[in-house]
Amino acid sequence: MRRTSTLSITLGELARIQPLAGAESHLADPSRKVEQVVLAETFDRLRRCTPHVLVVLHDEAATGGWSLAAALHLAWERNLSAVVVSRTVAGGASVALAERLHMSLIVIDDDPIDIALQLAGQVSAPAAARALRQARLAEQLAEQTGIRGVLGVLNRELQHVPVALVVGGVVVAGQSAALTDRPQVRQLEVEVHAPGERSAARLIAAVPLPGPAAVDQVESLLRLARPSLQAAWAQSRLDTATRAAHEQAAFGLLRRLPQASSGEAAEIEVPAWTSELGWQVGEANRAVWLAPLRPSGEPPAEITYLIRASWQRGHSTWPLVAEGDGWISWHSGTDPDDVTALRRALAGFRDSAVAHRLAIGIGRAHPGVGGLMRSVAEARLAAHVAREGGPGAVQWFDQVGANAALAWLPTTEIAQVADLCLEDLMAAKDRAALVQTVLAVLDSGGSLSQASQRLGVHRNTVLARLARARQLGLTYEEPGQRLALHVLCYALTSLWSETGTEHAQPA
Amino acid sequence: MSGPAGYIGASASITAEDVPALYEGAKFYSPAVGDANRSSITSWLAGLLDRNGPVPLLRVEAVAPETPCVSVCVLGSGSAMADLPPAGDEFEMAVRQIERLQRVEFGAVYPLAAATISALVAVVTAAQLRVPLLDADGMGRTFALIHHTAMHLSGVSPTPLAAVGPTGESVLVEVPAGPRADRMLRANVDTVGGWAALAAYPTTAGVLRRAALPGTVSRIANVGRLLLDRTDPDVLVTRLGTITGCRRLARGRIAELEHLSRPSDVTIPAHPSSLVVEETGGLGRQLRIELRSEIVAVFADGALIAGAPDLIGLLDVSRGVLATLDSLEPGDLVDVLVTPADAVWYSPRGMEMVGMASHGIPLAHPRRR
Amino acid sequence: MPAQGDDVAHIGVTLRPHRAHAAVVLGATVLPVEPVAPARTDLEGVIAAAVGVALRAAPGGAGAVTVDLAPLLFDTLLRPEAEVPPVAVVRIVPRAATDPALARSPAELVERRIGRRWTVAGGHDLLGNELCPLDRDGLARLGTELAATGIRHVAIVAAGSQARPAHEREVADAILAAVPGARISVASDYGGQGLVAREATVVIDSALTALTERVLDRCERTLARLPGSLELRVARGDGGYSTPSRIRVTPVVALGATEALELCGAAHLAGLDNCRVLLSRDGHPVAGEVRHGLAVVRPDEPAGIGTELVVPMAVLTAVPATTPDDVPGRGADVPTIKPDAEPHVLACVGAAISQPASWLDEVAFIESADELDRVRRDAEERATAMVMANGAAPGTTHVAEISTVAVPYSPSGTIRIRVRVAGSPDTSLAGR
Repeated sequence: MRRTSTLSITLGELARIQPLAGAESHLADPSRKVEQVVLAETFDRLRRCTPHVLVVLHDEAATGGWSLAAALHLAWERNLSAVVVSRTVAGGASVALAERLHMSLIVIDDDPIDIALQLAGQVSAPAAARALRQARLAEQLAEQTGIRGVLGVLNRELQHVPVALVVGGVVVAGQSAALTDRPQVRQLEVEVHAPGERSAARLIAAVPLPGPAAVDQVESLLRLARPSLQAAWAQSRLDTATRAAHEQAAFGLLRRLPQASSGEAAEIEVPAWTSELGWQVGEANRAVWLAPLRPSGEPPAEITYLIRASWQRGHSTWPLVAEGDGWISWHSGTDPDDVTALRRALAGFRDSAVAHRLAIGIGRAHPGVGGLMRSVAEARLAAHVAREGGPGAVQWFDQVGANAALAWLPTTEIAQVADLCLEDLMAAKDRAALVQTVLAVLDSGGSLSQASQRLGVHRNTVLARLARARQLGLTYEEPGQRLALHVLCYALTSLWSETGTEHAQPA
Repeated sequence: MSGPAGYIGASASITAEDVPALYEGAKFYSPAVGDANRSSITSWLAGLLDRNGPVPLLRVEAVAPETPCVSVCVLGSGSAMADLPPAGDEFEMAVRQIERLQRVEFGAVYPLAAATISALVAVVTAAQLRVPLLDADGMGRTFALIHHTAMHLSGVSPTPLAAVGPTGESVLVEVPAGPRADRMLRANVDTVGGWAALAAYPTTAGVLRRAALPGTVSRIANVGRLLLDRTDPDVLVTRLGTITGCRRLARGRIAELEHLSRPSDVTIPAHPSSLVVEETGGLGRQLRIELRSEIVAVFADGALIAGAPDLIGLLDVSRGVLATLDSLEPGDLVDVLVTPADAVWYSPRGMEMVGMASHGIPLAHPRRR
Repeated sequence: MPAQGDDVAHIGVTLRPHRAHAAVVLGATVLPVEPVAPARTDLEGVIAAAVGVALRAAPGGAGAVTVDLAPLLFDTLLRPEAEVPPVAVVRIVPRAATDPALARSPAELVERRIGRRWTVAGGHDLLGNELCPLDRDGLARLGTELAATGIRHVAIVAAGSQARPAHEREVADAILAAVPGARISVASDYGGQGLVAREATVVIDSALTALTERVLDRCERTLARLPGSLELRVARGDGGYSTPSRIRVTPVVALGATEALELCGAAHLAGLDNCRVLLSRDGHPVAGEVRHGLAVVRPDEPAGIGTELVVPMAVLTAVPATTPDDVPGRGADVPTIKPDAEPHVLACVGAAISQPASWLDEVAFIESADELDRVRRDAEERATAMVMANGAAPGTTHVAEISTVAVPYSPSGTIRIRVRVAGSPDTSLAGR
């Protein structure tokens, strides 16, 4: 007769299916193989057991007290795989002794004879037992509604085999040990496509070789998890309104993390719940700020919905968090210089941006949660600058630099200051042209020709306007006042161009 | 058997001054029952010895072979006896009943078991009857049932026997087969208050020369003197070893007491329980000590290291005294001592009767492996 | 409401025959109390001085005063000439003793307090089965004879009354009817093992009643005159404490407290929860143990009494002179300490830090493991109720020790169960 090629079942596998799944297991070594099951009614029977036997104690051999201690000792002497015994005879001291002898002890509530019969069947037909295990696992997976839950089930089931869910090189859930390259470990990959997704996620498992779990078993278990993962994903996107609130709250939490942790050097760990939202916070996080040209407080939920629909088209893992007068999103990757995905997304979003009258600011790429927050701040500054460019304008922070500060000037208040201290100028009808001219000259470092070029007027016109401006109190040449007046002119120009109330008339 | 120097055996007498040593030594050979009535039992015996004079302690060979002899013991629970002390005449009454039945007058008394209170009541009875006490007994320690004796192994019948309770009520038992007597008596013992004075194994000194275990009364007196010395436990164990052959198996703290975890045989008094002791120092082993009315087995990490008929006792290390089984508490630091029993108990018939198998432990005795 | 909290000082007092000692414990510090003569010779002066020290030292004021009466009580028992009212003893057993030694207590100290003895036929076995009907005619005669003697303190012990106190109660009722105002102590209040030990316990209990009343009255009057609301507590033989009202009815419980307090005090000063403590008694080294902050106690024969008692005490055992105690081996897994402080300081510290405590020692019959659990739970609950009666705040109690052992050579299923419960002070009990 040919020996079957099926691997012996392990103690760990047996302990995961009924009848032992419901038992109290104290496993010294779950990878111990079990070759045979023996129902021992006497100590004589126990003495005749061969190594790798799982022994179920019964009757005389299970009278408790001394008998379990003696049975554990015999099992240790005979190199048995495990001792199964009824709860009525197993006390805390027995568990302690089993641990001391490094002998697996399984405490059952059911009839030892029934258990022994069931176990004997499972051990003699490992394939059937494994099928049973898969069925049980499928049930457990089906009960999970979250991505983390699914990965939790997989990792619990596959002890010693770390499993991770990876999107674009980033671990979204599970144990990142699955990605570490180690000798004697074989990495398994199973692709998971979310419905309508462009980017595919992968389940990765690191299977030790040789190990208790065969590669093909692990692979079939990973495949089992696929539908649950897809469902969990879909489920987590079902209700956008809930999601919006959820994301907003979650982002608030995330934002508080760097503040809560002391010291800059402190590595802030990315909270596990971020992966539940599909968010990634990785090596290179580049934030995007979508800002309305005319901020009018918190955008209504419907707008958020529309913006989300178009922004997330094809990039469902990219967050969209309503924040103040705009929306935050970000892209995570491993290469800080890789902006291809982002540029593509921006190109796809351009029509929507124009339609919703949005300006877009983009931060630089920074690592970790703290880095993400920094990038968000940069994106916001950039967005303010971008507003100057009108609907659909995109401003990268890398290219704004310190000018971004100007975008933050409280122009209205400055205009009020001007009303008070430059009364004559403010009363003048041509004030806009005068202010714009002085600004252009200051911006150009005093070069009249550059200023006239920028304004599109003749150099003499510039000179004439400067003279009149000086008369009206705009004494920009005095070094002590130059900076203040420069800022003031900038503010007035921004205010008037923003409100559209005044336009410099070409002379 | 030749004892070490200072051995009081051969021909001596027991006086009131010997009572404390007898009590302690008797406890060594059966550490079951606590000291709840030590003072009253010892003052009773000491008072008798003061009033009636010392009791001669004779080797069996020193007594004429045709001398009628009878054994006495306390049947039942020491705790019951502590709570319902003897009126004082129970043992004498039991002996007199057999004398009347057999129309004899006993010329000597011997303890059925030279251990626990039973050793002392034999002296009481001898003092009351004003006859000598034989330096011999039937067990050399205590066993659970009254036919667990060297006399029974030699074919001496325990009956006719008489049992008198503290209530003054009595039963007289005659059975053709010794082992039946114990079963008949147990129910009666419960009825008369949990213990009874037993007079049994009426026979002659000549029979006892081959059927009884010699020197066992003087032995407890010698052991008792050592125990009263209150020496350091380590020194004490060494000294006890020279007299009794005892040695220490381990020292540890009591971690747990387990009860009724398994079915018990109702014919054997006291249900099975077991004691878990964590060895301090040494190998740090987990000891499991199986209790019936006595300690019947000791396992170290599940391996049997001592068992009945070995005499196994516990020494309370911090107090330097023997620990009795009814006063054990988790946290107590104890030495586990094992002393070989008399050779007769390691014979096949002895092992069958009082070995571990009789307590439901189907393992080979460590001495046999 | 008395003061409580970490900044409150607690006072321990130990009453010796010719002078009292006190110490104030405030957190980890111990403040000696050294009243000047002649105040130190009297209880009132020492307590007042201690309270003064406590009030000066502690921002939170003075909390409780725990008094160790044991040396005073024991001295009274020891002195044959001490003024102690005679005690009548009623022993309820199936048959009267035929031997004089069995009819009396083996302890001279106990026997000399007994003015008269009666034996009434009756009693139960350890499991509560009646062995003999109560002799009511004999009981009636006893009533008449007792009334004629003028003895007013009566100790009653019946065989098996731990399991079934019916006979003891009937006798007690009959005596109260015959001698109104008799002060009766019954053995079933204490449980425990051994008729002789139980009898000695109730005899001592009866003998100490009057003295205990007087001393506690004085203590309470003293505290009432002092500023603040000071709670009086009385140390017990097991190292715990109880309320004065409980000790008035069970004074024997206060006997032997000093030893347990010295052990706990020494452990407290050494900052240890588990240790072996070396003390000195009459110049000889003796040792006791502390586990989990409580003195190891058991019902035993206390030194100098001459018989076993059923109230547990810390029994100090002689340390053999042959080997120094600090050699490894004996109890090597716990440290051994030899306190520097005077014994009375240790006792006062032990009193000041003591907790309310209670214990039970009973025999029960079980037929299954479930029944064992039930019996244990039941015993734990009763011991817990007792510790609350002794002054523990509800919810603070914990089972410090529990042991159940099979009673050897008894019918299968007979177990002895012992429970010890400790708690934290209930400060709302002050003034009771």
